[in-house]
Amino acid sequence: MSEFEEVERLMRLKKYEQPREGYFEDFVDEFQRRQRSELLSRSSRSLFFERLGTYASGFSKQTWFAGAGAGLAYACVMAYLMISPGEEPTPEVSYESGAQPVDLWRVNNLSLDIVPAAPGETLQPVTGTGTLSVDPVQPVTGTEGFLDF
Amino acid sequence: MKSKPRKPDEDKDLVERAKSGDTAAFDELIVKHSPRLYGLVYHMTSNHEDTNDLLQDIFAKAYRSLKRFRGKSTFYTWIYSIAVNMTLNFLKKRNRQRGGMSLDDVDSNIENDKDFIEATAGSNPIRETNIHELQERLNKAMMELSEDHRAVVTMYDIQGMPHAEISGILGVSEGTVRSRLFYAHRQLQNYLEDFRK
Repeated sequence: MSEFEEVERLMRLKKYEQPREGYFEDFVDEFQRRQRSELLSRSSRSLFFERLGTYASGFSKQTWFAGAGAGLAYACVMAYLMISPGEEPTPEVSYESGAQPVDLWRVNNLSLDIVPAAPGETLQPVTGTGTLSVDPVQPVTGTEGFLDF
Repeated sequence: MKSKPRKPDEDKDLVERAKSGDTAAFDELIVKHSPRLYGLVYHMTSNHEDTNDLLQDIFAKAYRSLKRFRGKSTFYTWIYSIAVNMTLNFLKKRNRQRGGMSLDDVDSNIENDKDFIEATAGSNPIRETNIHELQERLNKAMMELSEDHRAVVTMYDIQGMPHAEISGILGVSEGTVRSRLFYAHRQLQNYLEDFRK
């Protein structure tokens, strides 16, 4: 016989405390009503997070590790791209102060030695004071110079 | 050591149906388990309105978390654990606000209970008490216990659960359950001295 048997017997009497009759029948109706009103009043954001939580809870441990590993790898790659030095910058071209602009007309007519005609002067056919030599085209022999596909 | 074989979960089918979106199956689970869960929450809070609100919240939480229930324990143990944890959290908050008692009716069958007859009959005038006085005394005594002690008294003395089941629900060892019960009973014995022989 327990030392506390009397106390245990008294406490057992509490089981006779019951809610009003029909309470449990109404309880389910109230549950459904509360669920519906909660669904309507909750923001779409909280619903999204709850669904996300439920979705994520379905993952196994392996899926979590794989996902975390992939995320970590992605973060490492992104971090590397952000902190690694890019291509060497192209040095800026500086113009020397003494450089003269090139006279393109003179360059083009250098070998022809052309002098502009004076007013009233009759133009003579060019006899050729300059020479224009063109190397004859040599036929290609062998395969040298071709890409070897 | 060989583990004790677990009894099959008699709610398995209803749980599977509820998981796949069958709300009627979840309603069946509510109808089946709400009386005992009501008892647990009510005896820990001694307040009907709080019990009703908490019980609604408990089933709502269970419904939302149902997909996470993997069947490692029975559905009953799982939802009972949710109920105990939510009630303990609620009581910690309520203790800061000091909520009063709002007691349920006492079933008239109590008058036929031999424990009641023994407790209320006798030559000692203090023991000549009516049902409602007794109810109030018992509830006041319960409210004097800490929440953890109240939980084990509710489950063991009032709801008749074995130590092992209580230990599974609370996530503590059976030794802890027994020790809590011992201290709770000793405290109750002091509070209910008048009713002792």
